[in-house]
Amino acid sequence: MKAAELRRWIRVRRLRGARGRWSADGIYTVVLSAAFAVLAVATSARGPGIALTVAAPAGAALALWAAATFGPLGLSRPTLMWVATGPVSRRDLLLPRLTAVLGVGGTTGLLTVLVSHAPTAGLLVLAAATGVLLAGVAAGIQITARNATPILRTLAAGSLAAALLMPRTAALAPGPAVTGVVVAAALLVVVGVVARLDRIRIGALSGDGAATLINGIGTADPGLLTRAAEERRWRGRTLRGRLPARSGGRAIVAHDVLAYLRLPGRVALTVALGAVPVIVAGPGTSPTVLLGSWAVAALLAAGQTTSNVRHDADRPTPARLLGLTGQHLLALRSALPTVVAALWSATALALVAARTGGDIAAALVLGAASGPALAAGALRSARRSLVRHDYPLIVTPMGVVPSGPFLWLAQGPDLALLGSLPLLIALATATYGWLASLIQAAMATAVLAGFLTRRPGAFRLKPLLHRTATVIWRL
Amino acid sequence: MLSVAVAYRGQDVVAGFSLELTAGQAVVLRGRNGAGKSTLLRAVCGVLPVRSGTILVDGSAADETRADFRRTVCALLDDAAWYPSLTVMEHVELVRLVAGDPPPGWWTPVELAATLGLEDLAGRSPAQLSSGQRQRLALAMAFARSSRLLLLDEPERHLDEDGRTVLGALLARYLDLGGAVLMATHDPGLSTAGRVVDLDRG
Repeated sequence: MKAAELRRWIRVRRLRGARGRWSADGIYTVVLSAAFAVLAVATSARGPGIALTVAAPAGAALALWAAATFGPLGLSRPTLMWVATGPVSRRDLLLPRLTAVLGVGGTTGLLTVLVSHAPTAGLLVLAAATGVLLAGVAAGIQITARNATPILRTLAAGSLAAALLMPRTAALAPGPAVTGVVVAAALLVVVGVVARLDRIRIGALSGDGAATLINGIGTADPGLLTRAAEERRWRGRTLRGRLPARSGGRAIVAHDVLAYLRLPGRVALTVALGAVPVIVAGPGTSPTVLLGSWAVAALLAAGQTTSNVRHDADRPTPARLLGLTGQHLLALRSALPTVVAALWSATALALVAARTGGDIAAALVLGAASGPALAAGALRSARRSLVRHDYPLIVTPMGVVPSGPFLWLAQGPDLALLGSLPLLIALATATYGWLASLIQAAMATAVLAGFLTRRPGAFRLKPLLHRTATVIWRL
Repeated sequence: MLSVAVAYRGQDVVAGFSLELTAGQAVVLRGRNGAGKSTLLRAVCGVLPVRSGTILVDGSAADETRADFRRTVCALLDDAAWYPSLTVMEHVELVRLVAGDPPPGWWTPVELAATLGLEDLAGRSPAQLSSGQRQRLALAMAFARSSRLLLLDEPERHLDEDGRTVLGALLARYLDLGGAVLMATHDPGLSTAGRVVDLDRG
């Protein structure tokens, strides 16, 4: 059987199950989203811009890192298992993937120019050709080299180093000859890759990253991606250190600390995220941008400590073997996120206050007081189950919004924002007072206590919203 | 258990089931796939509510949200009983540390690891183990703390012949220590551990 026929058969089967998915509303939403994306990029291009000498190697580093992580050529697990191993042409099977990879390369090149200084037609052609050339080279390495991932990672690191070392000047105006050479090279590489596509080994296609990404996109479920990424992070890692001999509930806290420290990247990310609101805060920054960056960075920082919480929510067996109820285990697991969130928030807010000329001592206390609320948000985020795609669509004048992913995204940030309200007001107005700290401490503690002591099924917001949305939908 | 009826996904799977289990006794549930063995175990564990009848464990209704119930009952009902962030030995130690010291005569974590052939794997991550080795780890965790009722759903899965023999020995010692066992199994060897109850559509 030819690969094209097989693909058509699979596509027809899929479409049969999803008839009506591409309604007028859906197309309208996609077109509107694309228009907004173009507008956003165009707006950013009008801003101060990044020097092209920095943006180009940085874009290349990003593209090569993505290529190393996701393939660049990849297939979903079922296709890899059942189709690729069969007597079908791998070139035919992979040609759509290669087209997509080259397209992503070209688009990355274009975006690199758009976010840097004002683009010219020649520069756009050169950037797109360079992107295609890079994507083609990455695919070629995957096809021919047995150790493609380390090679691509080394190239990505080299590009990143170049981005850091390059002078911050935008005086880059390559002539038509350079553009012609790059376009020709890109074409040659693409032809070569297509010719050798049939020789790719199954082993080179079985990277977990590609399969995870494809499955995540296929199911439109960030939760699935998070869990798969978590598994990948631990696989093959040497577990250093030892579990401290603490008895009772303190053993659970010790386990959380150990799990956090065994992934040093997480600790580094928590520290690095503290710089985000400090960099954003400055003269002329709008309060909305500052609050948004604060909320995202704070939730991400607190979320670095909740991998065991996610594991407990997915798999109840360890809790049963430990002899603890789910609620008791969650309460014990809240200790580390609370402490880390309090420390992070206190440090970050004090630094913001120092930069904006506020009361540093009051900011330190106010930040620490918000720790329990941020922890509650991070715990709720970690316990989210998979995205519900059976929830009704919400039709708005801006297009159709699927309520399932929206509700999934809102779980966690809702509690964190509600419990951090005094801090957010203080951040927006740049006034850090002691009374606000007191109110903040009371609110954050109440939010965390409410989250930890709620009876399962006593009040569930999601079904309530679901019922409400269903009623509106029927109307 | 008195006249217990349990439904799973809207269908009655177990109906009119009665059973009494005392300390030192084992009951083996047998039956075809879909006969209701796992559903019954989940009801006793307090995961699935009963439609009618009563399940009492130590005089109290089965409810897994109660702390004393969780301490009394140890349940190994499915796979994936491990954390990727802990080594094999740390899993057994964590259970012991959380539960506290057991009564005299109970296994030590080192003894359990040796009995189940996990000594050489002590410093490895469970992600690097085979399915059979992971099942041995789950069993080590199940026997690491003292409990009064042990619920096991096909504990022989993934185990080789030696593993099944070791499991039989562990169960015999658990019963000697005064525990009670309710277990679903397809293994004829393990069926000799106690009274056999054949389930046929509840």
